[in-house]
Amino acid sequence: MTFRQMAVLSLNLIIGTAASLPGTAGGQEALPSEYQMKAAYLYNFAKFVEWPVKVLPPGDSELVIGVLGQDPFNGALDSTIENKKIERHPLRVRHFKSPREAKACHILFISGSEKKRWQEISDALAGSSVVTVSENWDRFTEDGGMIYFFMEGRKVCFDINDEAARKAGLKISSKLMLLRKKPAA
Amino acid sequence: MNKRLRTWKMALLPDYKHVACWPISIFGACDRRGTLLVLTVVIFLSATTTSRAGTTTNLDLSEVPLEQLLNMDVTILRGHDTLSKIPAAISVVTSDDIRRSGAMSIPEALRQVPGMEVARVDASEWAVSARGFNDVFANKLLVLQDGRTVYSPVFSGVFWDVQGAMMEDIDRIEVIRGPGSTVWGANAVNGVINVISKSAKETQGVLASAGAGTIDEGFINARYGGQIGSNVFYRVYGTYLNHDSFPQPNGRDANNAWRMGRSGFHLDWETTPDDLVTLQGDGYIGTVHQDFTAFNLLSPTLTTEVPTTMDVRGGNVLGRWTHTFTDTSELKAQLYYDRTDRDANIFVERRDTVDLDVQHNFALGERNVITWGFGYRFSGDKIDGSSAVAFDPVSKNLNLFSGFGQDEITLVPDRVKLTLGTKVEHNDFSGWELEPGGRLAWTPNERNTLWTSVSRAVRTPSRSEEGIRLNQVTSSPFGPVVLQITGNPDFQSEKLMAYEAGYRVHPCDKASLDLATFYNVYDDLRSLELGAPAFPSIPATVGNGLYGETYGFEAAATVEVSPWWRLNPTYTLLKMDLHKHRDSTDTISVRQDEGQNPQQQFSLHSAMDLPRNISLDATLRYVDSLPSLKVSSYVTMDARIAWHATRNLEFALVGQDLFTPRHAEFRPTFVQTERSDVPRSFYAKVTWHF
Repeated sequence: MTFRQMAVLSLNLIIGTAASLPGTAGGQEALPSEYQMKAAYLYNFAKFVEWPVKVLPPGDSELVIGVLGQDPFNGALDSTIENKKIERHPLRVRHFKSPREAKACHILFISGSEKKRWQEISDALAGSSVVTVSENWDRFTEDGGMIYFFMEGRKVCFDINDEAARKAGLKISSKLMLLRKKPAA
Repeated sequence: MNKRLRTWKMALLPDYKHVACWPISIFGACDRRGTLLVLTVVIFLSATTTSRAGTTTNLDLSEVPLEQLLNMDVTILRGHDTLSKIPAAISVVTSDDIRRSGAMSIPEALRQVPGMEVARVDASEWAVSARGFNDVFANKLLVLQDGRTVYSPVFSGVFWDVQGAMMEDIDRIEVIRGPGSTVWGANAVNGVINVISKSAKETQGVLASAGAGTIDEGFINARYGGQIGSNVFYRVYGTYLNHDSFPQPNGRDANNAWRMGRSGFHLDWETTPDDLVTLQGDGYIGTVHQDFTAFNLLSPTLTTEVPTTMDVRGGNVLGRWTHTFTDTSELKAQLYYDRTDRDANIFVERRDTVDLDVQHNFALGERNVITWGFGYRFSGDKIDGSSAVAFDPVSKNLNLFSGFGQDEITLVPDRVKLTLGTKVEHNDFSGWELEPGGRLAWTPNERNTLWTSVSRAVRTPSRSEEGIRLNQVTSSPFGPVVLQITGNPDFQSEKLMAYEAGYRVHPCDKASLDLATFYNVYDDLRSLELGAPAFPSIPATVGNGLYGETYGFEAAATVEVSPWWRLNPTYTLLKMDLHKHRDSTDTISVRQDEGQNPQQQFSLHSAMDLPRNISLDATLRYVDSLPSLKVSSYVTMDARIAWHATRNLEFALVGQDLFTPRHAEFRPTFVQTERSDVPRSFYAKVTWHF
């Protein structure tokens, strides 16, 4: 193949691909991103977990979903729960830098970047009723975390450590318990 | 993502994280080739226009029932987050890529990276380089395995035949084309390759695989990963491969079969949540058959065939301590010892290397991230030669001292980053070397990154250039002649000024495009200064008589045609324009060096996940001709079909180099081993883990 032929070939290929990108996929529905999916799960966790009354008093008190460490959601969490309510509780997203502040939420998404600080985090949360959620951290549930996200191919799955949830005074609905999975070894 | 970011630092990213700029000046530099300019601009335009059209899907999944969420697919795009913002021509080969490619060795896994030149010379030898200057003894590529350099001071290159790993335990291979000298120092001239293995935590349990094939005649790999207490994880592994000979161009057996056993361990101890201690080691032992054509004054052809059974042995042990002070501050100290033995008839080398490396990074104020470090390497050898090749002195101890500092400056938060740094080194051949560089990255939004860089790199002299005695027999119009090559203690470092630019775009969630272009200016390149012939011998001395420019670009795309089908096209263009200095007598090397590199390469990888747990992969590959080695261009294909029978059991069938019964990819250069072609081959493999 000459230079020219080669150039034309690659040109066509690349332009062809680039041009067909945005609209493409021939009518196929756009797939959600991993974090849009995880945001939807967090919303569902808020629905299917029951907190002790002193932590989430009935009425219109806020239900706070916190993110500790680097935020991977890129806005997906805010847009998923924006203006939403569960029963009468308005939902709110907060970002935390230190584990101590994080005590003030109901569900805490702990970024994988915080793995090394887990001891500090778990000490800070001791005695609280925060649902701890994380990812990219194979032993999260063994380490005492409550809900662990993992991928199975292109599907987002979760595992639950119900023992840890019970100790924190949380009631996890049987619906969630039925849908949990164990990550493959 | 965070995991990648962290481990990333350990490897290629002590330095750049998010940076970039505008490639206009570089395009200008390339415009001596009109086609290239047009091509680049058109691709660029087509990419920018589409990127405007592509918008984030604003899906609200909150009302989708939970049961349905569990069954919904999500997009997984590689090279999304951190990687896309790095101001360098970087590619990552993931463990999944390696598995799907069917690669049995590290060079094979590198074939899918644009800008890399990977050619099989014979059954055990490879020629691997980036952006030109490829050779069996390619000397401008730095290769590291878990932070340990496998670059040999004998010829500033890699003995690929003894590099290996349990492929299943490789986490990823990071490839930077272009200089990595600011951080990695001398010899990271045209590229850096970092092979990074998985942590012990990620390799728990038993994994065993075995297979057989036409060339990879029989192989078995086994690993066991376990845990001691709550914070110590370990694995041990062993591999064995029996590899058949390749055919000669005339179809006869080239008698270059080999076999190799390898075993090792990896232990990770989280002494505190902020401290990780890693201890790892590997050992290998193998036998490689090789027929050398050696100089013999008494023979009419001046040569004798020397059938050789080469014994290779080696091992290393490495310790690393990583301490995290805060999110933005980390200290890493690493020490390793490495021993290699090569025992061939014509060349017996023993080498001991001890290397210490310390690196620290921290944030200084809101806008600066400082990374600095220092290192020391001792490398002692003893090389017994023969009438074909010898070294003077026979034994030498080399000391290398180095230090580097770098500042990553945020000029505009989340948008513009500038990285400035330099390495300072002292080596026993050329003394002090300074390798500064600057990189600028502009990320106008999450989907686009532009970057540019200027860096200086040097390739320091090796034992060969200092004191080799090589008798190379070549044909001439007057019959066979002997090129008697003598080293030169005054050989200087080869120098490079590299100008690079790149653009990454992620026009929609289903596609991404990565473009990189470069203009490299070399000086003091190695030459062979010919003396007055005294037939049948022509004396030649190693010199610094060449200079030149290389330029080109690399394009790689990922396209998700559908959730189960992904395509990866890549294209590489390389132009080399070398010259000799006026006082140089080297009339051979310019054409020889230029003609050992393919001007164009093209590949297309298709990865399909079919129903019933079957995955199907095929890679089409075109490589241009190598005129000075008389190797024609070729098109070939590798394919792999695998069936995940259960979660723990996989069967795979792999065919390599399928299009022709055999083809040439490279030819022996300095050391005259038997010429070999690469045959079509197949193997079957079973993998079981629990």
